[in-house]
Amino acid sequence: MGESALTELDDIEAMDRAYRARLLRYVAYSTGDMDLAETVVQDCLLKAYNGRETFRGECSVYTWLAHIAGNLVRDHQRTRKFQFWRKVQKTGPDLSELSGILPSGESSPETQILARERAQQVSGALEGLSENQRSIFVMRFVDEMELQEICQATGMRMSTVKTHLHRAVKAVRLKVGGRA
Amino acid sequence: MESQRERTESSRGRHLTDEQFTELLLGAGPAPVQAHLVECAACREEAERVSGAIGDFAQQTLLWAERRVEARPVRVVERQTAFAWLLHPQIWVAGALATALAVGIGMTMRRDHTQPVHQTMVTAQADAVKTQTAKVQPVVAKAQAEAKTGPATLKADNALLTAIDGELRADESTPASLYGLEATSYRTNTKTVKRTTN
Repeated sequence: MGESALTELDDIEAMDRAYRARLLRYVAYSTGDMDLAETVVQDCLLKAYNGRETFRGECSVYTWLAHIAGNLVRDHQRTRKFQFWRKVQKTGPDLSELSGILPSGESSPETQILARERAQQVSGALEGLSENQRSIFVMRFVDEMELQEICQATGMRMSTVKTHLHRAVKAVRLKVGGRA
Repeated sequence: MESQRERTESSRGRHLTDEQFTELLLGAGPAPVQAHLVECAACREEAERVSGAIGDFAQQTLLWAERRVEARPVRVVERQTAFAWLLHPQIWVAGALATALAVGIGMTMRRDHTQPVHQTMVTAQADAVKTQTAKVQPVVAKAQAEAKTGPATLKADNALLTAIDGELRADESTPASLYGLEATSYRTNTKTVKRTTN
């Protein structure tokens, strides 16, 4: 394990500051369930901290955390309790919450509105995808992880990752580009 | 070969396929794809629009997540094992004090209550004997008084007992009596009970 990773994992508050938002975004947009994302991210950080001795440094810390988060999502989704409550109430992330905090110094209000509309189009396209497709799309294009890192985080083969990615891009292209 | 032909056709007139579009977004667009983009304004514009939308999505979702985290600061609590409380010295000190207190109280109560208990038991037994004696004495006196009654009373009692004895014997069923035989001899073979006075 690298020295920097060791230091990073030893300080859970620093780890929380560095990765919590990214993990929350990844889980929220992979599952489409905000409440689940909050729970999973909290559990993920604690699990990573408690099991930091097992981190071998073969991948980045974020890739390792994404792997843990993915396993936790699957664990939660296996439980009957989760399946029941998921049918009762599902609180997806809402991009309209961002209307008041978009950066205003770099672009005009019209540009900001267009940017939000485009982002919502992508979000809408992701809703129609499977969870694996969404998850891999978010890893690659939102978290900007390399394909090899995605393979490590998900445990999938490269060909499977590429297939999911291709289907996700096709859906986004259809929604945003207007032609597929 | 087919893939190469597809790419060539795409660069000549067709638009980018989904596979080519994905490769382009991944930053690994091969030379024919790049060449097509130079020639085809529609594909170029579409690629910029989709890529820009994904960038907007990434930026806004990150802002959304950061705001969410700021709005809900989470107190980080380290997960503890089931017996982690044993590691706290205060627990051991408190346990020792509680044990010492319990033992001290127990010893004190034993010393205070051992002797009086025996005394109380003896006193209670003596009282019970006195009470029983008081109850029995009148009965005995009455019996003694009755025993001192005269010969006439004894004679009457003997007659009553004889009659009762006779009635009891008459009720006894024997194989002979069932058939009406020797009934008389049974009835005549009665005894007289005699009581003597002390």
